[in-house]
Amino acid sequence: MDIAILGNPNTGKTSLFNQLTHSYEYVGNWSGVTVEKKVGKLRAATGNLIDLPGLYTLSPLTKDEKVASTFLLEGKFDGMINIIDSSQLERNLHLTVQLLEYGKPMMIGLNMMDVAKRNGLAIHIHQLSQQLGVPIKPMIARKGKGCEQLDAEKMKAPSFHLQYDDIIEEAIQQCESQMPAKMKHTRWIALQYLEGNEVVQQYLQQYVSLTWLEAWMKDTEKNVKIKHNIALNKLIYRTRETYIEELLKENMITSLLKHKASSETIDRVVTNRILGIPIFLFVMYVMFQFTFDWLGVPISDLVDGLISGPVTSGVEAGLQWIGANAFFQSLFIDGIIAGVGGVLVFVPQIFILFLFISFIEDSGYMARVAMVMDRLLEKFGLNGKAFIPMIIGFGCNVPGIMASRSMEQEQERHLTTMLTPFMSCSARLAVYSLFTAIFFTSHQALIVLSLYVMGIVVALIVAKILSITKYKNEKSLFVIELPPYRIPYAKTLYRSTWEKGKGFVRKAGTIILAGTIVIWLLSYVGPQGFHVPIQESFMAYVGKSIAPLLSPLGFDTWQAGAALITGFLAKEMVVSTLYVLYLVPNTEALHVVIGQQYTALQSYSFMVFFLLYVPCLATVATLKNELPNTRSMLFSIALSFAIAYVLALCVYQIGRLLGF
Amino acid sequence: MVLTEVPRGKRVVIKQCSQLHPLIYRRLNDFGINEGKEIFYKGKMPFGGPCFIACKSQKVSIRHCDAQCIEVEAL
Repeated sequence: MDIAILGNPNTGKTSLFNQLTHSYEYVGNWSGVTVEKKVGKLRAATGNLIDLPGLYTLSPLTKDEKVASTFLLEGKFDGMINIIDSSQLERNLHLTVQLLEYGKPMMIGLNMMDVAKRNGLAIHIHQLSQQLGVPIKPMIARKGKGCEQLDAEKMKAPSFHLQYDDIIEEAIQQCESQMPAKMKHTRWIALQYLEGNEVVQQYLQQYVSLTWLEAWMKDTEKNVKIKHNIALNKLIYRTRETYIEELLKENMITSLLKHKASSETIDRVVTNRILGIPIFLFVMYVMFQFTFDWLGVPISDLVDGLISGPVTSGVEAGLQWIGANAFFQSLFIDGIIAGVGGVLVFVPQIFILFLFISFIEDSGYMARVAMVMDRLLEKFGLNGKAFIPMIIGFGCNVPGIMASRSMEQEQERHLTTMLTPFMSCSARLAVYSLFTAIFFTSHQALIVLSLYVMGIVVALIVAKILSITKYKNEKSLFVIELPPYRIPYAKTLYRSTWEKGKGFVRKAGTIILAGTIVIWLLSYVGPQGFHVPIQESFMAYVGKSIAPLLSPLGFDTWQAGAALITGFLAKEMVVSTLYVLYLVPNTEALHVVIGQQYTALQSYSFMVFFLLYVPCLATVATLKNELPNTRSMLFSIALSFAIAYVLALCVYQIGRLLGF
Repeated sequence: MVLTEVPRGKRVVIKQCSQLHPLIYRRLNDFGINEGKEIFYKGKMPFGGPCFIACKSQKVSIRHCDAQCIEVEAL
């Protein structure tokens, strides 16, 4: 049995999903978090649960809102759970009415009963359930209260009928008579078509002649205009609105008890006219301090000690004990442990960064950040919402790009998609950490910060240029809901941090492991045969072939060239590659070798180039899906490379003139 | 008068907002903010940045230029 969850953004859909399924899913607090439908196995082992992106009404405005309508038309499922924020009943019921009109077996989860009670709302659940014709269960999804009552067995098909104006009713009948006999949900399809739901319109145009549909739509619009002097979609909206108002009058009691929301107080500070931006910068500063100095680096050092000490010697002893030959000893010690270990060292820092990003998302602060930054971004042809993908992009570019799906304007969405790869993701952090630890020991945080800022500045300049050339036809728009603040539950934070961070651990065990073995093999084998000196290996030849291209930038070693090639697979691969190619057993030894081969200026030029030169493979795949065509994707990659080259060239040449 | 002329924290009723960009209009409609509704003007960000309004205990942020398209009258 397959059950879909539908509801407004920020109503706790994803929390409910986590409660009802085994798989750990990612929870968020603003409208773009659930970016594609997600499927999890129900705990009761009776079927699957499908989580759809949040939406206010079925007529889509954004790309992620299209997912739900498309799913209702084409998806295979047996029932629906409509989750409702009980403190925002009126708004939520607009979607409920449309889902009831759809007519599949359904059940309503009345979430956030605690918030509603605090706001002085009481709801006659039983009576409301009888009037709507479907079971309604009160619950507090975040705490897991009442979720178990959402039993798929108890769902039933609603006997719901909302009577619209005679003109509309007649139009529905006319349309139904044109539809093929086997078509289901005919009343719902006709109504959604009249209301202007693009997805439904495109669907119906496959079955009914376009000329008929256009004439029918025009007639209905004209008749409504004559009789009521308002637009057709407005009449439909008003009918639902009146019905909902009646429903609430009968079933909801608002007591005078006025709860002073703490959200108000927090908002007065964090969205303060003057303090808003400084507070945001301070939050970012604290986030990076934790990621590096305060917590991240100490933990990473511990992990490094563990890998280069007990783990390496343990494996060494084990290999000798089983009598492994030199080939396998080198493969394990110089290849796998050095390469994969070099990446694992940075996993604690990546997790800390994700923890902070999850906190910002789940608490409701993210929407405020969008608002605070809107004015600045407007000057660069974007809107405040574009900042959300960018912040998420600091963690990983892929979910960052996906988050841009909640933007209403298509061109702004494409533009944001192209800019997100300039954000310095946590995988790149691994490389900065390595180089700054060698050359900039006293100003580590400052140097890393300069790279993050450089990424943002480049993104903004590119945005400005593209918005006045390629994307000049659309006006930038901004409207966002500011959800109430919620202190994220420890459990929820843990789950969403793990959900995002586990990808990096998995990557270390798969692509990095495989890549490291290949790199090691290519550095072990050369045209002359096995176990050649590394300077005569295949890897050296590959690296040497692109080294001349990189020499104006200051780093013409074949190792740097080879590392940049492998960095395309995954950014942190650069670290693994350097470990393998410099044939070093631990971090200290690598520091010494690299410290001898490069100057501080060369290393900075390398980091600048590395920040921007090309998105990683996973990001390229996402770009291909999210941009309108392959050409845009290639344009985006070529642009990154050109910018990276020019910037690194400037950094190195100007730096040299200044005598660094 | 238009929304941006309203003193902070004052309750007003929307008289006319059809001048809004259709997308903004539709989105505000989703929040239940349209003609005849009571809203609260809650303040704005500096340098002509977005302002935020409240309606039925939900908060929404829109740009200054869009807020100027919303005609209101005092309660």
